Amino acid sequence: MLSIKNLSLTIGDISVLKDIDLNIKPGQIMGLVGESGSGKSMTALAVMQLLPHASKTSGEIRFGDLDILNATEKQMCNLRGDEIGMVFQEPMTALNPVKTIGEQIAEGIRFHTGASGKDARDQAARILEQVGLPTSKFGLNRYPHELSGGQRQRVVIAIACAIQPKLLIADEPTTALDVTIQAQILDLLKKLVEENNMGLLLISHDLGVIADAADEITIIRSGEIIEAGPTRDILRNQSHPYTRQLAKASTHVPVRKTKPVTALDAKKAQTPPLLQVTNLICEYPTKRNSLFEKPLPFRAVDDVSFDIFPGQTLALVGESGCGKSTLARTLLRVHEPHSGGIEFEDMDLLNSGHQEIIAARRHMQIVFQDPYGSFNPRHKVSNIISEPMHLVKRKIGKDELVDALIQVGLEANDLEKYPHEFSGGQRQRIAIARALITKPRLIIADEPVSALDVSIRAQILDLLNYLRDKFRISYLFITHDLSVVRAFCDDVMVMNSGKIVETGSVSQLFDNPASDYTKQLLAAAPDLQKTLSARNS
Amino acid sequence: MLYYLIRRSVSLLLTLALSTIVIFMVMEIVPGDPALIILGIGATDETIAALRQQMGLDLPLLTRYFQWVSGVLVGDLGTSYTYSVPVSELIAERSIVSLPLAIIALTLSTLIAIPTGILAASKRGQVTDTGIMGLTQLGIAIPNFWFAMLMVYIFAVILQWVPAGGFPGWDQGILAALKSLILPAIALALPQAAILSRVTRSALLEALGEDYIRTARAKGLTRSMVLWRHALRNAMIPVLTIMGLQFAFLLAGTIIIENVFYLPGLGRLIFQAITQRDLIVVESTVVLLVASVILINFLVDITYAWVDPRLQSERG
Repeated sequence: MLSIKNLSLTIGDISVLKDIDLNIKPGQIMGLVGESGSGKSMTALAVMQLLPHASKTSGEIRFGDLDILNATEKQMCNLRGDEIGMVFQEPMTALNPVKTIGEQIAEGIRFHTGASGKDARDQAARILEQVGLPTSKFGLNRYPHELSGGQRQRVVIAIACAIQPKLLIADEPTTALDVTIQAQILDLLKKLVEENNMGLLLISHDLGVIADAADEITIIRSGEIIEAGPTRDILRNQSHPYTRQLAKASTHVPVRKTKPVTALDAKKAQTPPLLQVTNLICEYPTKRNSLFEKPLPFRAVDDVSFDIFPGQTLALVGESGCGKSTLARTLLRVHEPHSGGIEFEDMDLLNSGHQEIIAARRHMQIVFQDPYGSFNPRHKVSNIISEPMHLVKRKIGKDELVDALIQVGLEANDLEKYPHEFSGGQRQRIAIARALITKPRLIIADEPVSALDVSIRAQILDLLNYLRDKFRISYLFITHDLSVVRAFCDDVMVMNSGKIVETGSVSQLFDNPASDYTKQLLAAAPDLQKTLSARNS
Repeated sequence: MLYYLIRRSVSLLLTLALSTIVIFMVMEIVPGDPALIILGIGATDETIAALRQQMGLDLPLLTRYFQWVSGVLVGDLGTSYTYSVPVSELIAERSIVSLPLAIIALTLSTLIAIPTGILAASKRGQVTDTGIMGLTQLGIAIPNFWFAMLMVYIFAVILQWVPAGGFPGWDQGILAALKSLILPAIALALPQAAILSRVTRSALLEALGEDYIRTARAKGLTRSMVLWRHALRNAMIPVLTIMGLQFAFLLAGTIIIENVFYLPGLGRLIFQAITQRDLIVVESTVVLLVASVILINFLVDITYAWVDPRLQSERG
């Protein structure tokens, strides 16, 4: 149905794709895997002919009888949305905010079939029903901002599948979603493939997702295909070194030299906790609905208590909006809690003076998900790293800065560079160096590896592991990715709607989850190892 | 939506009330005793005191404020010290020149700016785009009084299509009145159009770079359909903001153009009233102008909510 032969693409002077071959049959799910910048999305956009300006393509893309690279814009408009649908990564911005979801689905139907407004709306209602948004609950006149991320992604899928395309291209359709929603969306895509005998080009950076969903897999790196074939064979044999490297990085477990520190062991040894949080409650004011009633505040963190011991790595997992980040910000006292207690090294953080809090902050640092957003782009690395030093009230020598950089695997001459000169992984190293400079005892890491490719993620985990072995640093490791928790953490706390639903050691919680919510999370998380062994048997 | 409207209306009234206080206070602080100005330097203290009493200037500040505000509320704006006619009459007389002038100028500017802005955005980087953007640079750079004089020379002196200045009054026929307003309206509209055109273009280009445009293209819509159906409405918010500001400016900031064309508008009324210390006229005119600016912003706010449904449910 779709056949790509020797597709090459250059944008300006940069070669983006080289000799790509790819074939998709009706009813088949083709997984396209690669790290960021590998050319996955460009391959998809080339099929749609929606490439950026200054793109030059050569080779051949055939869809049925149509030669796409030589098709007119009119032919392409007829093809897009009719025979080929496309779903994008970011559901929050993929829908027009000022149009109702009904209008947006019906628009394509009217354009391609010439249906009347009413018929198109009826069809839109049917397709919404099919993607799991029954019109009794999700009316056609809803606006995108009234829906959650997962619901919006269903609408985007509804738009792409409105007139039963023969081929659906899904570019990272679940990357921005929580694991439970991700599982639902993948199930929906599989169901649509089966019901409509549709071909699906599923693009992802996540080998786990592809291993679970795709019949065939194509692995791409720097615009070139590394390996292609049936998913099961490719992932079982792992004959190509890059495939092996990807699979290994996806399931990477840093080698810990020191013993794991679990809360249970620490309590037995009667070690005093480093951080003690008791009955913490954080609230946000909410929208006023009536002129006469004061609105009830939204409780983002609801009666949370936990301890972190020296050297312990405690994972905080939960879906977006569960209160993870609010909790982290409250610990740093960026956000004021409603009530409760926070003690750090026997100091009451909530009732201490400014000076004492500054002293405590020295021992408590944070690493964010998006390092680029947390750097001032006009500061050099030396400024960025030495920034927390005002907490210790002393000038810092250049050799100390160099030490910090070398510790995180960068070089001395990087001090004089600006953030934009580094890759994503290197920037995260700079962020870690900035956290390390005050010799902290606790690092709060808020999704520190979520924005990184698997191979970089493995490196950063190794770095964090090295630091904890060397300096006995404790981590509060906030993440939504359960595979990282299993690979890196000692204990886990599961958070749902502001409450801690379960706490335990990693092995205990993963093997014998007690709460329904944890079970649900574990079942939804794509697990490469598990999928492969299930497929092999 | 209802809640949004109520909230906006409350803030409208509060701003209005606040602005009357500020205007009243400023006029109190400004030096110059109206009684002294009316009577001249030779007046005795007794006559000045008598006149002050007659004008109510000897009453306490608060009493005078409430007298003035309650008068404004029922349309009684007081009597001008210099012209000795009710201020409301003066303002009405001038408004029938200034208001149509502002409306014509804004309409002209919108009619020029939106299409050229859209055209420039849809031909981004091509000759049409650079041409239009070059013209808008000129439009912003050239002072409008200079352009006004040029037009007077061409259309009034050489071609003699329209009068060079003055206003015959609406009772002389709509055509005659419009003829004398058209040149000043164009002179006012062009720089505004240049700014608005640039705003339209950049807002559209920003909207065209959004993810939902890609979604719409993937649906099969052509480039121009995407522009008209998806990008334009999203680009309207900055355009509306600028239009609101421009209308406010056109109502009161036209004094130079009114002078060039010798038009009896509000701008000149204020100017004359200030030079003659005719405080009551200044106060009332400024209050009216402030009120209309606030009202325009209120209308713009409501249009925002109509254009962008997210604002209706936004937390405040």
